[in-house]
Amino acid sequence: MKAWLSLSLFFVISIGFTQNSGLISGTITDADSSKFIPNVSVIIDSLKIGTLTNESGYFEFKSVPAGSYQIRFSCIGYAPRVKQLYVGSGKSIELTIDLIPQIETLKEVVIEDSYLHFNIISKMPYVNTSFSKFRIEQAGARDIGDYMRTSQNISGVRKGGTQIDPVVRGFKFSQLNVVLNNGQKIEGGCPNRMDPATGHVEIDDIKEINVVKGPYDLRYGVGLGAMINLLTNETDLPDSGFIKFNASKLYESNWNGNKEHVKITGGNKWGFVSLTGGRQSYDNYDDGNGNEINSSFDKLNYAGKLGLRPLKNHLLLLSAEEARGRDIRFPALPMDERKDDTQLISADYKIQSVGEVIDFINLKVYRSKVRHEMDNKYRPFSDTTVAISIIHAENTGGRGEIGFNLGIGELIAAADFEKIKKDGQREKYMILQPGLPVKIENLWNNAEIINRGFFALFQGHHKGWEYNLSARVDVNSAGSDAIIILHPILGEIYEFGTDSIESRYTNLSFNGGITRNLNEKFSVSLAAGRAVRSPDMTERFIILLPIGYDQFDYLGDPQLNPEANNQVDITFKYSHERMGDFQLNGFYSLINDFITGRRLPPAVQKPLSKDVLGVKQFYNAGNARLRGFEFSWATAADINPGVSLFASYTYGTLDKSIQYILNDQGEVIDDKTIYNDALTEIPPFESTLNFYYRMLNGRFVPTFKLRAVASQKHVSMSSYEASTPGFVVAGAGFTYVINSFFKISGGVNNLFDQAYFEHLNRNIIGTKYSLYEPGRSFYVNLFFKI
Amino acid sequence: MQKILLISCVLMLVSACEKDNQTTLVSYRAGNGSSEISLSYRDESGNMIDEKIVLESSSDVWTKSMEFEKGEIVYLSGIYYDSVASLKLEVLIDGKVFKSNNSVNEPAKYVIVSGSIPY
Amino acid sequence: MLSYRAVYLTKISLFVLLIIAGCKDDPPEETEQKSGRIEFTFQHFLNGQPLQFDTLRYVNEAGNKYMVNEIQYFISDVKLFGKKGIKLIDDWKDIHYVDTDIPDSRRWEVYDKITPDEYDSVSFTFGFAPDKNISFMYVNPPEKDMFWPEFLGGGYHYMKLNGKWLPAGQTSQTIPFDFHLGRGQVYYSYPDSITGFIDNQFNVSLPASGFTILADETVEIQITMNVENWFKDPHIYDHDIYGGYIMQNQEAMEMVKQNGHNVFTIQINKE
Repeated sequence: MKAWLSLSLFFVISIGFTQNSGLISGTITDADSSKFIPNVSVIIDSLKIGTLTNESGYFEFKSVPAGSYQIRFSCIGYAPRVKQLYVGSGKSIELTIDLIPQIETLKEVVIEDSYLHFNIISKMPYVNTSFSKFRIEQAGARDIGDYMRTSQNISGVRKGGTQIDPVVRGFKFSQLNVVLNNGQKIEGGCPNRMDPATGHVEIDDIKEINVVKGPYDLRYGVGLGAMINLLTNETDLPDSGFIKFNASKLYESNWNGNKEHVKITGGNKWGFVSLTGGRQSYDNYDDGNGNEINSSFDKLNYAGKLGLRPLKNHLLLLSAEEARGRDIRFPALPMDERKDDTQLISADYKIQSVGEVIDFINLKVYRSKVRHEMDNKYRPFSDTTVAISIIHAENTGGRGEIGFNLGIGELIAAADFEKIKKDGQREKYMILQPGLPVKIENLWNNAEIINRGFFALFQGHHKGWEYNLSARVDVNSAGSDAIIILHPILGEIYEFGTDSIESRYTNLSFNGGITRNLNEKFSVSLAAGRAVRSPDMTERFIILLPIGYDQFDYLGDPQLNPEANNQVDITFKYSHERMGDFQLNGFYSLINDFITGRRLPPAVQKPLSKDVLGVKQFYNAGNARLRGFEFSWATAADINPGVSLFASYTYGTLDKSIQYILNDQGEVIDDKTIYNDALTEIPPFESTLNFYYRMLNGRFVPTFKLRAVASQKHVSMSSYEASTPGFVVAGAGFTYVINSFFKISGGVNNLFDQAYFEHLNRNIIGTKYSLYEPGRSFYVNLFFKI
Repeated sequence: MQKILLISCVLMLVSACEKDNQTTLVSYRAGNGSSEISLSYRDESGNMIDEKIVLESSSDVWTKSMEFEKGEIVYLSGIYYDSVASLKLEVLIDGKVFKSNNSVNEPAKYVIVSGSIPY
Repeated sequence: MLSYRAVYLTKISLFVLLIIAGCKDDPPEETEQKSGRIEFTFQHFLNGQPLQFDTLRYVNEAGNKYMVNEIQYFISDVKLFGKKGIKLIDDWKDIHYVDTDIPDSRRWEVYDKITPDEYDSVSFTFGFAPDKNISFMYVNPPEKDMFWPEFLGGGYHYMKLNGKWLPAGQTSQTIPFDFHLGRGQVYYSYPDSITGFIDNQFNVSLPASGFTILADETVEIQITMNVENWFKDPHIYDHDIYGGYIMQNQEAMEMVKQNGHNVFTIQINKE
């Protein structure tokens, strides 16, 4: 009912507007010196018009018909830039554009807000992918992890309807470094990773997501497989008086899901205020077979940001955010998320263009607090034991960085600090036993990890070569109170020794890369490095919970060694005026002290969770190897229709592992050593083909997508991993910019109602059946702004 | 015009927030017994209450009603000492039988009926 | 200022180094493991014949006519006594559950690798040693359902032998009996005020002289429970006296424990 009301409101209003022409003007400045740049070429391809900026860096186009356009800015000595915008009827748009100086004129393509599925930012010698707000709005997405799966070589682990856990090139969980706004860390509460860091950030607040693949970006910490930077802070707000209002509403048919979001921003040259609020309410979805999957969830979040500019080029940004999740169902886990309350607060101080040598100074302090409550009340076995767990997780941290301009290149030096605290227990009510005994088990007992990091990056260029070197040192210490499980009558029955729980590591990570730009169109990059991460809270301290993809209770080992990734990437980029942009990347990764689980005999430890097959303990399993490639091609921004094609594949092996041989009854009767077994949960080969066609001057753009995923038969024998069949899925969508106030996007996901599941989808608990992906779903996304 | 839109959008969001009734009436019931019974039940605050009762005949019934929050655990157990005695225990939610058990199903001389109230 | 050539060379060498480091070791030579395996099978006899369940055809030493419905029990800490030493079976599983309703449980393929040796006896604990008998240690059926109530001592039943008997004076109406063994209680004044608990597990020793286990050989050790012996030696057990329920009767359970000394017999079978 509400959806129809808003839909009709929007259409009634849009009819009232007529077509007129508008004005586009702007000023172009040097990003470093803030000086105006004359003679910048400004071209609107689709209108076949162009001009040059005057001595004040100013340009204008009069009588521009209302519509959506890409404007290209290029000038010798600067990196070219493309801006996507919409001109409303009778409206004028004034732009402020910064161009980044560059010694060589390289045909780098920096595409913003484009319909293409990726952005190539080729200053770095490795794969760097960016997702803009524009692209996210097109897709009608409800969860960051779910949305990121649409990008190549990024998958996710599905355990329920939302809060999908991202996997990049087969690297997952703590092998990825997920940060918020350049450095804030979020430690989820759930040992099962019901709430990964990406699940705690509201997708409608996202301005951009930046993914650096590989262990190469050490600025905000160590990510063995990738660094994922979620940006929600406003970066380019006007610095004269303004007030803006944005609202959006998404409806998804299969889920009967509703998502609403509002944002009010206002400010002037002294500062700005931004208030946002959003709500998600989703029911169960039907898979392609028509089966109902328990996926429902409710989420509410609100945030306030305050920015102050006490001096020119200074910015103080304060941010506070609260998110509440209720009744989030996870059919693949033994428990559901009953209540999740998250608070994220941060304060940033940024200074730009400090002087001749010091380019910028950034300071940040933050705190993330998660209170996570889960129980098994919707599971059949809650008839015998009701289990309720409450966990508190808190990250407190800060960082400071200075950027230096050394002439021959740029140097960034940074220091950061992070403290993670985690505490929680599980209460098991034995409701079928006389006296209702309650067993209390520590999940974490005041567990704490402290990390201090020091980082340096040098980026330089010389005659067609770009090179960088970076290094990071982490001093990491961890400890916990004694981990106790209380027997309701006898008292303590298990205790994992206090004297062996402390650990301390000093980890050194480093990498280097070079890029050779062979001519204006072609570049080759080579990056190599080693990154070392300390084991996470779960790997060190978890006490008997089924947190893996298998049906085993996992036990931590506080004395685990850090895991290291030694990786080499080679990347080719080619840009052709008519054919478009190509990128091909290959990587080889050797992981030392790979952390995984191995079975423990029942004589040593019996499981504590219902229906599990036994106990596994985390250990360092020796060397693992990952290799793969990714290929991307996209036609140039001004070609219509536009096409893009992506393909990627990762192959992972574990040098040595033990397979336990089972008899027909599932009892362990023997063991065998296996060499070069497949790594578990590695996504198979996949390829995506996208089409788009710009109509009505770019105001209306239909899109079509075809995704083909191969079967995954390279599965772990020692873990008895199941293989997954291949599938092909199609989707269609459109974006329609009605006028400068209203925009609508919509489409169909899983157009042919395929019944399929991704290799990384977990099994419905207690069964051998994977969680299927949703069947056909129509979505409509309405946007309103003034 | 734009102000009207603004207000209607905000109203839409605000009205979208719903709160439903979170408590429910639960009754414990013990019957079909013929001796002294030691009852033990969980009250709405989570405390375990012990009560010794005597059921005179098979038609004699003991009940206790409380308001519970949804999702809470309900539990009633009865221990009896007479080896030929019988006992039937029930938990009712809003007047309807939610869980039921009797002495025929139990090995030792106790009966338990329990569960968590559906949301 | 670094020359680009120097930087270039550094990068190439780093790349090469990583490639070399990435070379795999060859899998080591497989070392010969010379050991044997054992397999336990459990069978249940009454008066020298395989037990027929659910039929009222047996008479015990006390004269009760009875039937057996099911037998469920735990054995633990199995030991093999050999010339070279004692082998305790606990590399994987140290407790085994037998259930006459679950045919698969009557065979235990032991994970432990057994040193080739000459062995002369096998022993096990019927039930569990007190420090191993921990409440709630089992979360899954069937073991979970053997729980022994907390207020009676906690832990798990060592055995449930369930059946029905014809009480004296009855011609057709049988009454169920729960011939259960577990932790007993000491009462100040029955049935109130428990003052202590007594563990009723016992050791079963089965001489089987001169059985050898060779390398790469699997030996079947057959354990037979002779059910009639639960009821006669040294104590004649009368259902009419002890009734259907003995979990709270330490005197009865003490008798069961003592009668257990000759319930089990052993036979070694080779493949």
